Amino acid sequence: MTKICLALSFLISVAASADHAPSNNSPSMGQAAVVRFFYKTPKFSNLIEYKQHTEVDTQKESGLTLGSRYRLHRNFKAGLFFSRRQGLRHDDDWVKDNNNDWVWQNTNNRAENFVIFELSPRMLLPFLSGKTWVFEFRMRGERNLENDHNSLKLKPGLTYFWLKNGAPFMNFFLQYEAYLPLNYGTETIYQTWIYTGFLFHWSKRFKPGLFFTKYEKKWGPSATFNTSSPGETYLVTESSSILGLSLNINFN
Amino acid sequence: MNKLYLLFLVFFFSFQVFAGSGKAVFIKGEVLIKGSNNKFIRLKKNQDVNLGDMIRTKTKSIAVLALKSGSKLKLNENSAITLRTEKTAKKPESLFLNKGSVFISVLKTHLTKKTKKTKIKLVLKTRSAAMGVRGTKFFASFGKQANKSKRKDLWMCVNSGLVEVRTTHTKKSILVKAGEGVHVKEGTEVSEPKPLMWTKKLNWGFDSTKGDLTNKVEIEEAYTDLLDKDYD
Repeated sequence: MTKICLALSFLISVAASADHAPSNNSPSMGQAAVVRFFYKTPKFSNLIEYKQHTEVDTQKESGLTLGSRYRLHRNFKAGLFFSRRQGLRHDDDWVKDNNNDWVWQNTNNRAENFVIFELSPRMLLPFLSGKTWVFEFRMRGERNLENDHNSLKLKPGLTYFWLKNGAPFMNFFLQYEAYLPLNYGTETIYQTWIYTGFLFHWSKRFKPGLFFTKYEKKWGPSATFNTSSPGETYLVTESSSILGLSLNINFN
Repeated sequence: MNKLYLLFLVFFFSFQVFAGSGKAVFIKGEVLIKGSNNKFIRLKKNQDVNLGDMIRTKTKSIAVLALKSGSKLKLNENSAITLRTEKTAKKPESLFLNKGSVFISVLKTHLTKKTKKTKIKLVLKTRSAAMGVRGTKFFASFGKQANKSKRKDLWMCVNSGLVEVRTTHTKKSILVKAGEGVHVKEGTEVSEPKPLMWTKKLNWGFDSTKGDLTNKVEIEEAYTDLLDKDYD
């Protein structure tokens, strides 16, 4: 009898925890649009970028980033950026609403500011066919000024340049990005993104592109959950994909 | 008597060093010379070269020539150069780049008392441009050989000293300083001098005892620096 009671208690607590945790989510494909403005000088590559995309449910993320990259060496650039983003979701956004139901907080109108420092070594891979392959390993340190979260984003990527008359005609890229939370979260890698796509050099100024992204996010216990359900935990994986359009505009 | 004999020996051997306008001091691979008989024959190390001679290198070949004036040329692979005139008191030395690319090292000249300006010691000409060298090292190359429209392009960069570039199309001359380079597009338009990233990897060596002389930078890199492209 005691054993049955214990087993029942265990099952009830698991069921309760499952109710309190976000569901494993594999929503349908989202859409994205990105526009970038570049202004180049011999040493600096200046950037203004606006992007917007829809992911799960009705969550809409958007962000404006501006900054500059400096060419320290032929194979090495360093960058500094400021970014303002809306619609981001964090672990702590899993909260109880007025009806005491567990929900994801609507953050579509919540603005967050980031400072980003970037290092990007890159190299040509002349042993690959065509000799116009570039490998880049982009490392970004991001600080969220709203919640003091520090993240490290590691993004190795391969780009193939299709040249015509010595100038790029199209480029095709494949990139992998891993988000490593430095002072928050329960997992070593919090998010992973795989990007693939192309950019068409329609003119010196305008370069439209198409990209496809597959991502995976891991959600750990929120502060509200830890308070209301001490001793319990959860780890939920959300994965989906995004199809996006981009437009790069070069001012010089 | 001994002093006279010594002077005679110095005089005699100086003639032996440069019986012609210059000498081939380093040869790698297949290097040819066309002289007054208008036929190409193999150029050997320590062989003299004369005014009017055309020196040509084949694939994976290099020639370093030491000229009487003290200038040195390093002719890269698939290149050709003609020795036009020697330096005189009134005129600079003149070379003609027929094809490919060449590194040139010119002895620094002294300031003239009258003008306090460095005189042009050597002129490198092509069909479309003339480069007057005031010392000391520069590199000149024709554009992409595979592309007919690019063959008339000329790229030039200066390692040290000053080079004056002028096209036959316009009479305007542009001074290019050390660390800068220019692009003479289709032989007509000279770009503003500026540092060219692709030139940082050029092999400026002239002395084979100090290392490999092969230049591994391909002129295609001049047209687009893929490592400088930012798209996101």
